[in-house]
Amino acid sequence: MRQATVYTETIIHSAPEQFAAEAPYQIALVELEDSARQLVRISGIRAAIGDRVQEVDSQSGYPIFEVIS
Amino acid sequence: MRPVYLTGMGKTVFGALAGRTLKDLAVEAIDACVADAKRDRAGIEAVYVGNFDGPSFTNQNHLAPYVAGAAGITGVPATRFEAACASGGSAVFHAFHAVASGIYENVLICGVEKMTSQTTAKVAQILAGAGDAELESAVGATFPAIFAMVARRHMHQYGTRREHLAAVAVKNHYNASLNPQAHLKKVITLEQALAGKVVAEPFTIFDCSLVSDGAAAIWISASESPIRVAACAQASGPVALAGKREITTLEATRLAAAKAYAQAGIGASDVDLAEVHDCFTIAELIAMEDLGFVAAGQSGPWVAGGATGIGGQLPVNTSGGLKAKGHPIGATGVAQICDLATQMRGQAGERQVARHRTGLAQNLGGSGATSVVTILRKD
Repeated sequence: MRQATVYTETIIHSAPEQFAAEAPYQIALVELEDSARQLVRISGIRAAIGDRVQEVDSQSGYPIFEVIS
Repeated sequence: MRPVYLTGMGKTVFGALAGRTLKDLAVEAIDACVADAKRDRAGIEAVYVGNFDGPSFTNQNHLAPYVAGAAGITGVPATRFEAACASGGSAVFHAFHAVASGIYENVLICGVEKMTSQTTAKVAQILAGAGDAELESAVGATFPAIFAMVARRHMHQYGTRREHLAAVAVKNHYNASLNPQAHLKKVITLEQALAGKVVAEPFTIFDCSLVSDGAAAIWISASESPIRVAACAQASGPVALAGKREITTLEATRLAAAKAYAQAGIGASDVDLAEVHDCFTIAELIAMEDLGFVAAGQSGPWVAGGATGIGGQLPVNTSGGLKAKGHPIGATGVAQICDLATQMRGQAGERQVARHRTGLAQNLGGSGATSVVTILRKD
């Protein structure tokens, strides 16, 4: 699975209609190995700028990463 | 290009205006503008309408002839411009160039948005449409979240603090309290700004601009008036945050500012007052840097130190800004011109600034996909 570094992040408390039931949730702009950036969801423990994260299986239609412990 | 002048201007109050429609707000602003211009509206040769998403907010499309016709302006071309939150500024940009290049003598620009008939969650959904639907909205990003991530990065890179962000909100709330046409006239303290309900960390509701109804209109012309539209420049950047190499500076604003300063023949230090796009507190800080008022990374302490207050070295958002004057999206870029001109005419009452020869407006769309910089000058 892809690994990346968190470039910036936020936890969304006020969500749009379609995601309202999931709030609060964290999203992050991550830098992938090829230095391209992608906006992803973070699951599990909270990620901070500079944290290493890796992709987990997602059936949600959007990429999900979690902190490498 | 020939000189372009500001002939007239008019605005509605901004606010949650129950019972008011997009159409009647636009007509009120246009009527006020025509009255201010002291001209016959039959002289208007084209109408440029700035509107972000009337179709989603009000289920009304084909907005330009819709509002122009309601205001008694028919027959002439009427076109809507959409550039997210820079819709109004983009309408001004295109109208300015039509007059400057000699296509028209007299044009009217109306910016309008009716937002408050929708729920907050629905508004968030519509606003998310100004981002990248596939790369951002589908992940659950909201507009506050996009700028919250910009803020986090600015804080990380430069040591900008929550208190610096909150200082923007405190200043703009105070300024709006002196503006009879503002949406919110509620002075807040730094402590209140910091303790507000969290929207997207580190933002509280006090870091976010308002959801408002309102309209603004200006008449620009090739015939001489005291205030000249000395420059108007528009530039683009990536729509998605992921497409930008740097997110703590917005290239579109830097490009538009460079073009506008060159067009006007001035530099950043010649600007006496500015209305900038504080959709979020961080956006006002970054605008200070991208417009060349202060070096990259220095805006937080500079603004928190009072430099941009009404009595400061460069008053910014004396209207109260999007934060507290309100942000009826399509109206904002046009309203900024009205707010500058009010100061430049010496009609700003309690919020009047001392020096007002040169005013700058900056109107941003999305997270920097469009930026429009306009400079007004008294020669």
